[in-house]
Amino acid sequence: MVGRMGRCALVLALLSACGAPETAPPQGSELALLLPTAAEIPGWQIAEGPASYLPEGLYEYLNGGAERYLTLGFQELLHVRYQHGDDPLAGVTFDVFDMGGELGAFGMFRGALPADAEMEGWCVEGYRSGGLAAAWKGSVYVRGEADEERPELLVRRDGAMALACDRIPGDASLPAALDPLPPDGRVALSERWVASNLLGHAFLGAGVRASYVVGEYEAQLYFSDAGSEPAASEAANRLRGHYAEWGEVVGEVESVGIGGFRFTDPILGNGTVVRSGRFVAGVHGQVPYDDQERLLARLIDGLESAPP
Amino acid sequence: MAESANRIDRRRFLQLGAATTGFALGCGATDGGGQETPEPSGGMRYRPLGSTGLEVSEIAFGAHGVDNPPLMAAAVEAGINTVFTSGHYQDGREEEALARAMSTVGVPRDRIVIMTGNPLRPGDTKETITADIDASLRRLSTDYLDIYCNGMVNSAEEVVVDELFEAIDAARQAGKVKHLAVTGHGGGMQECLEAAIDVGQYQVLSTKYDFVSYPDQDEILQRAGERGIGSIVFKTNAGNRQREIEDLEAGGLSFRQATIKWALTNPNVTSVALTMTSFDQIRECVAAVGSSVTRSEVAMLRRYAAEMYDKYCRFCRRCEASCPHDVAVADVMRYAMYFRYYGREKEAMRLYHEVPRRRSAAACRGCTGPCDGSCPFGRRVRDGLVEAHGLLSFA
Repeated sequence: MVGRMGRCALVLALLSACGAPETAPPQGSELALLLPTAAEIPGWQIAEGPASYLPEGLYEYLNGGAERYLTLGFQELLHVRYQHGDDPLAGVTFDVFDMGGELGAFGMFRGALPADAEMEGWCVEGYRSGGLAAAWKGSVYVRGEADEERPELLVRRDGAMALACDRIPGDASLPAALDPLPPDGRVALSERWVASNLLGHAFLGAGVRASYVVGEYEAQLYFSDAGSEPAASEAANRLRGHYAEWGEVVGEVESVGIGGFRFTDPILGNGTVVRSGRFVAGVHGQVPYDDQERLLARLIDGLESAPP
Repeated sequence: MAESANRIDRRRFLQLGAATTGFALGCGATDGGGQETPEPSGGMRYRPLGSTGLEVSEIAFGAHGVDNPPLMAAAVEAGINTVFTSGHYQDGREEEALARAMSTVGVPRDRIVIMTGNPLRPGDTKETITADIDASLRRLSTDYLDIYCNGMVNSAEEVVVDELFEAIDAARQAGKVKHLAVTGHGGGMQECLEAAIDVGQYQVLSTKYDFVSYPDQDEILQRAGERGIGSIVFKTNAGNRQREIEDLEAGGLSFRQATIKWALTNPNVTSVALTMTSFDQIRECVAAVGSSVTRSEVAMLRRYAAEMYDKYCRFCRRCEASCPHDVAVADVMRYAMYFRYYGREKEAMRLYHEVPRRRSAAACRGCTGPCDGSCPFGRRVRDGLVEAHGLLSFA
């Protein structure tokens, strides 16, 4: 995970030496290694926490929002609130999540990425958007939120983000699960990891999706590893049934994959679904069917290179 | 004291029987109530939300992180007209995502009841709360909120807040907010709900509600109903631990569906809020509307209640008042849970070591255990504390 227990003891000693936190930091939580200490933020105090939340108690902190984290493999949250001087509304809420693995951390980061995000060089990826900032690396998802968009709060938030990210070990590469996605035409930062119910279908399970620009149109490309050819066949058939119910299946696909079909959907537009080996793959949007099949062919090339 | 605990247990079982079947069932009854074949669902049904004038679907859509317009369309198509989100999640980005999904689907604003809100922060004023409301309106691309929620409350002090009431009055006069709700997930929600009913400012309660927890919650919801306060409930699945019981759902039973049906048998429950991330979940939940609980489902819920009811501490702290040694029961139980179920043995032991000696469970072994009679869930608290002390201290 984050570090070793020996280092933890040292950092916890530093934290407690600062004297600021009224609540004892969660002894033993390796996430505590990542928190900026009171000594590192002169003029500020720790007004709340550090407090640890485990899966069973996450709802107490995030209410119904907890479900997204739990689905993505959440293991632990360490929450702390830094406050500038005596003003209770001049604070930065800082949360460090152990998401159980890099896909969980990546999935949380990308799933919550605002449209107006300004990317920042923290961790593997990081962003700022108004009062909110977030980053991920390894299994850790870090989130900082300033009470208001006042410069002194944003500077402190950014400083805490940088400090935490610098302490997370590991390399700065994207998850290997994204490798099969064709690079050409892919919309930057559009890749998503969905831990379950890809496209809202329980039978697809987990999967990857991304946006592509083809000509003047945009399309959503996705794939799911069903685990076996029969399971992929079953999932593709159920997708066919779904689109027959909600839209219309308008043709068969011979040029790419196996057992593919074209459909129209009142919300998704045109779409194509195929399977290849243990994978189910599809694309939808306003992109013409022929272009969809070419995009799928490139994806399938990538999937066939995927490790078994 | 043990008698008291048994009395509460029995009462809950009786409620389970009565609520699910419409008949008064005894604990050991096997032949009472429920149909064996579920009635076909006649589609979504709607209930008046207290005296708000709103008619809400019996199933509400928890729209946390919704980025799937077809799923939103399916929920609307299924008759769901009530959606939940919060300005707190991702600094309001989830409200923006909901607005995008509603726009894509093309749901008319007046066909949807939107509930959103924020937790109050220390130092919040009428002005800061008003700013939060305005921000939610902007992010949701709407000019009014049906229900604004004081979220994540944990104490009565967080419920009775004059600055909030002043902000809501002003927002109501400006047409920005129609109704005020309170919600929370903590162990002490009874106190919060009672305060919300008494203060007379809330029109909606949003709370967890299930067939094994909150022994006095039926009474609370009834009192709310009598005062015209609507109740939208969530977490009806009582901990969602059905997979720990072998063959509980054998024969095609759906535990989730049964718990929804159970909650909806309470006339004081207006709607059950659920986070639905798949088409199957929408179908499963909506099918629970309008059909009675079957005899098999009653048996399933009873079995779950019997096997899970006293298995875990809810950390409600009610037993602590009865402890002659001032043991920090909830904390000790939580650390024992970390030790047993989360594989965090060292952390649990260190946390326990941090508990002042006088508040640890060291004294429990020689105690008569008055806590046993004070657990509203019938747990043998003393035994649990003795075991926890052994685990956490290598005693």
